[in-house]
Amino acid sequence: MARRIAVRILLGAFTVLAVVLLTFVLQYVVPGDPARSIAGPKATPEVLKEIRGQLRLDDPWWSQLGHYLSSVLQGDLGTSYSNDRPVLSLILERLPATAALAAAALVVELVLGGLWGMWEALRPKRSWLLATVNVGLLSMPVFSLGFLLLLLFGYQLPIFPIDGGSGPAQLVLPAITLGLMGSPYYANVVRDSMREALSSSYVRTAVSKGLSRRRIVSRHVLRNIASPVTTLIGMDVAVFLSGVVFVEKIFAWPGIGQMQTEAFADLDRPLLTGTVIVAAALVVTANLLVDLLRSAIDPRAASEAP
Amino acid sequence: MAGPPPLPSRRHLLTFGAAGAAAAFLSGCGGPGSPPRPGALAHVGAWAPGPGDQSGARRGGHIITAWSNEAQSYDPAIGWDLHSWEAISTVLHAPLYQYAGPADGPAPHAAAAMPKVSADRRTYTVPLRRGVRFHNGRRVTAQDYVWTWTRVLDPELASWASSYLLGIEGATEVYEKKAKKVRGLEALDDHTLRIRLSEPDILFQALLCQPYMAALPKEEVERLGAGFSRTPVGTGPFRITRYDSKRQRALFRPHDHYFWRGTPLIDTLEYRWGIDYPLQALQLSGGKVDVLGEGLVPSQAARFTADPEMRERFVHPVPVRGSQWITTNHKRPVLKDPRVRQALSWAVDREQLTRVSFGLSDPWGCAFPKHLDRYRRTARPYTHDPDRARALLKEAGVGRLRLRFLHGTQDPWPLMAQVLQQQFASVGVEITLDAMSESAFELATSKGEGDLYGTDMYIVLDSALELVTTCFTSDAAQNYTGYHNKRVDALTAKARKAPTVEASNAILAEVEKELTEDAAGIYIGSLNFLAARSPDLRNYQMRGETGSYYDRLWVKR
Amino acid sequence: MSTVPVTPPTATAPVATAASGPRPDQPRPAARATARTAGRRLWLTGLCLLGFLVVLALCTPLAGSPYTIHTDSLTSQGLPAGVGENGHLLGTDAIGRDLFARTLFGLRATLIIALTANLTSVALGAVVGLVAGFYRGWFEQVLMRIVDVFLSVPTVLSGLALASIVGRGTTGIIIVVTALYWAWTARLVHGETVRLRGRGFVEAALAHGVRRHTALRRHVLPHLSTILLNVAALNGAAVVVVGAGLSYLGAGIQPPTPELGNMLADGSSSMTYAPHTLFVPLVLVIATVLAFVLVAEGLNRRNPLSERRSWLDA
Repeated sequence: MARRIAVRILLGAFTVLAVVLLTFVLQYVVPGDPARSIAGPKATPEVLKEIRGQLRLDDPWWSQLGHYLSSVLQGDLGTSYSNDRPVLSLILERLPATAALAAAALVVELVLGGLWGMWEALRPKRSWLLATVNVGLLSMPVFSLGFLLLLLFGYQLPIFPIDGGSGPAQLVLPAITLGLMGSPYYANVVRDSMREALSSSYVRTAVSKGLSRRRIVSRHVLRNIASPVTTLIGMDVAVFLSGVVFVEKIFAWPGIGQMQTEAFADLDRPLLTGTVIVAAALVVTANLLVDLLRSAIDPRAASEAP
Repeated sequence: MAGPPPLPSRRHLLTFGAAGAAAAFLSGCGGPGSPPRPGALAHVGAWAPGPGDQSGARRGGHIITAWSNEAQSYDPAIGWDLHSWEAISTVLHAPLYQYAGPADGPAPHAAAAMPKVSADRRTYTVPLRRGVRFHNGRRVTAQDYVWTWTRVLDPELASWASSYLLGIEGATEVYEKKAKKVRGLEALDDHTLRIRLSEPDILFQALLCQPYMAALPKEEVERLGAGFSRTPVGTGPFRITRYDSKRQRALFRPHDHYFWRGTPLIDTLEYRWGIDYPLQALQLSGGKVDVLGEGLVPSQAARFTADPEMRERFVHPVPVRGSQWITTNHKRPVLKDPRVRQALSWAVDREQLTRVSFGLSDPWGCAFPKHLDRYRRTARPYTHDPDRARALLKEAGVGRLRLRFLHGTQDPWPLMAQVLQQQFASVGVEITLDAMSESAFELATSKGEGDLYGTDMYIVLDSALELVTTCFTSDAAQNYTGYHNKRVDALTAKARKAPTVEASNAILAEVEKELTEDAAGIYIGSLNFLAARSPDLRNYQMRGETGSYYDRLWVKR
Repeated sequence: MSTVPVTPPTATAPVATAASGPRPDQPRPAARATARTAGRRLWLTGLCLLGFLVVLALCTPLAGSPYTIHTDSLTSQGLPAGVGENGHLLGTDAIGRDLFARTLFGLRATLIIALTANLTSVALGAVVGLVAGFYRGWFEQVLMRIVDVFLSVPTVLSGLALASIVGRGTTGIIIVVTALYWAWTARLVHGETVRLRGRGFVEAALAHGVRRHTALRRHVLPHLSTILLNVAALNGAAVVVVGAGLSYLGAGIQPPTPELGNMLADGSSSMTYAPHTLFVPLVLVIATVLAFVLVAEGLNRRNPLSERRSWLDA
């Protein structure tokens, strides 16, 4: 077990390192002129030259790569061009807001998806409701859904505040937008694993032993659901990190998604690559945690993964 | 102030009328118990643009302004985007002069009177207002101005504004690190500043209205270091009390020692940013914010202007002087031929084109904005004449023409570009569209990519000279297309040295005629600005050159 | 949680099993047959819908030009014509172009992108997954670590960055989507191949001296084909939505070329004063995605070996 964990951590570290290398390459292929991004369009050539020198932009690529790698390893992701602040501190400043949004969206997914999936599983008849909503949500781009919710529940029926604040009340609409997009997946997984559990031999045994319904569900059925749902949560980290780019923009939620689109528009390379690296690290960590958690919940899973 | 009065009387009025006028206006709206204000009574309109309804003025209230982006910097030497610009122009810092009435020129602000100009028009003596204090309580002296302007010239600071100060004698030496002190800059005493220019410059007066010319306290700049760009100390009506980059907001409170006593009237001003335009529009009409900092963008303007009631409640048209045109890349051989550029100019149906800007620009086929003060236009605007366009293209021997059009992603360019594409297609010119962010656009133009570029420019320096010297002269900073017209260069230099605004404008009219006939760009419109604010705000005033004036407005109870 | 009503498990179990699709470890011939019929029905419905959309997209010459600007069709305030107004079946967009024509042309562009990007990403993913899963060893390790890297890079942002390199035309977006999606297919195919390889018939073939290529072609590929088709169909749905997202951020198909994604993005900015500019393309996007999902689902049901969980219940 310890060896497996060690291997997983090592592989994760390798993945992040590969992403760092990839972002370095990306910095060279993506168009942009850092000096101009920093100084603005009205800067004189002298100013531009001065900045280029400061950024070592005229050094050979291998020297830049060495410098880049060593500073990233020391936790220094560079300085934002447009903001003139360390990238890492900018990201860490915004990360809690995104984390709060993701957590709230996860709650929406679990509650909506969980209840819905259980209801579906316990119904004797097949339902077209899940199918219809599934297709609707699958085909709705997240920004369209966001705009619709904003217009309906923020403006026409002003239930949720849209004043651009960053409190719990302002969190509701963006969390619902993100959560709604994911809830059908949870409903599906919950329904399927619950059905599987209900038809399994151990539930049948439990019923024949005369255990109470409540006990059967909490003991056997929920346990069976936990493992696939955990996997889904792990995958959600990657999904959320993409989704927040749209949702935060629409609802003015001050997280890293909003920062990413700005960094992209401003050609702010360090900030852009910094967010990519941090996001990749988060995804890798989440997958690692989920993997460990799954093997804790369900020892059978441990033998599947590499 | 209507018509072009002779200069002395105008200056007289501004010098003696303006300070008192502001005081009179402000005394009218101050709450009970506010301290007495200096100055004599005069017509209110002389300094406060559009005095508005002064009855029922009251103190208190919290104003929220929404912005799409975070400011680059509240350091006046650094920031130049709209958000930074308003913050440094009307909120945190007080320039020497400020734009008065809706279409008027500068009036004394942190200065006590208009500058005395020597006979050779090279020496400006600025009397400073007494009792102007920084937010930290210290009195402002002429030395502060000398220090601040020298700082702008420091190449280490890399201020974009440094080039504007190079007309001061000895500034170039400082900029090139050959000297520590600017020769032409001198504090005669605590309250008198003398500036000597290398040669006469009609724009210098307007330069004194710019926020980067406002005094900064040396001790605070040094103490705060990099933090000065977020929580600066200035002389403006508001001081910053919190800058929360995490929650994307900044909070401002009135400056206790603001030199226009008794103002500002509101208790707090809050800037919020990171708000996309559709959300801004919903927030304003839902009463969640009071002012949209960038005004209405076309896609949102439609919602407000189409409905007379909404328009009445929220929209506040602001007279601005701005031009909208398509810059042509003069490095491309085919576009070097003026007949081709003229053909493109005749091919544009400006009425159809400007419809998609929903009132944010008027169709206009000349180089300079449609309405300029004390300006007699001689140029004839282009109109829509596709036959003439085809004939000119034939004459130039151009068969099939394919051009790449670069434009911003910001409204209204993406829509306008598509309309233009159709219009050009009808005279046989094919253009491909390339929308890009502002930064990417700057980069592409600096590399000389593309053939046509969508361009807007607002005039901030009070004269069309700014437009020409920024975009059309050979050495202009924004002349990235290599446009070179000897006559324009010569006339512009002459206009800059002209003794009076009228004389300068007469020469500028010739410049405009030349630019228009030569079709240096494809002129399409004259810009408007639709400010958007809550109907609860009273005495809301705004200038395109600066932004909203929060010092004089109040909130209806 | 305990408040959820629980019907007696004994009653639920058989029904639930039948509905949750066939499972190879507990074969129930009757249930499988029903599922297969239902699968065929779904599959046919999806194909019909897709066919209808393709026919619709082929009708573009009848719809008129999607570029002509009918300024006179705008209202006096400059707002777009609504549905059925001024001779426009579906109204006009913000600058007065016929929305019906644009929608048809947009549908065509979207279908071309969805089908092509699908083919390329699934093909690339399948080859990588298959090779890694079948040949194993260090080769597998290297390939799968690359897959891991692609799976951990945030998609939207990499899409934007990639679009700024490869360009924003049809080809550009196909490359972007391929780059973003191949790794998912690769991982799925890899897992499936490893599983199949562990099955008796492949091992037996190898033990009998069948060459590895042959074993791969004869014994693994046929089993994978249905899964691949299924992935492709689901991918098709995702591609439509991702394309829309990239357009919204300015990295999709560039105007004036109509594409459902950029029409959705345009519609989102004009929906406050002209909702039909959003809803018209949205309806078609939903129809397209529905078609792809139905096909995927139908294929899934038809495949007796599939263990994939169903996205759709029916």
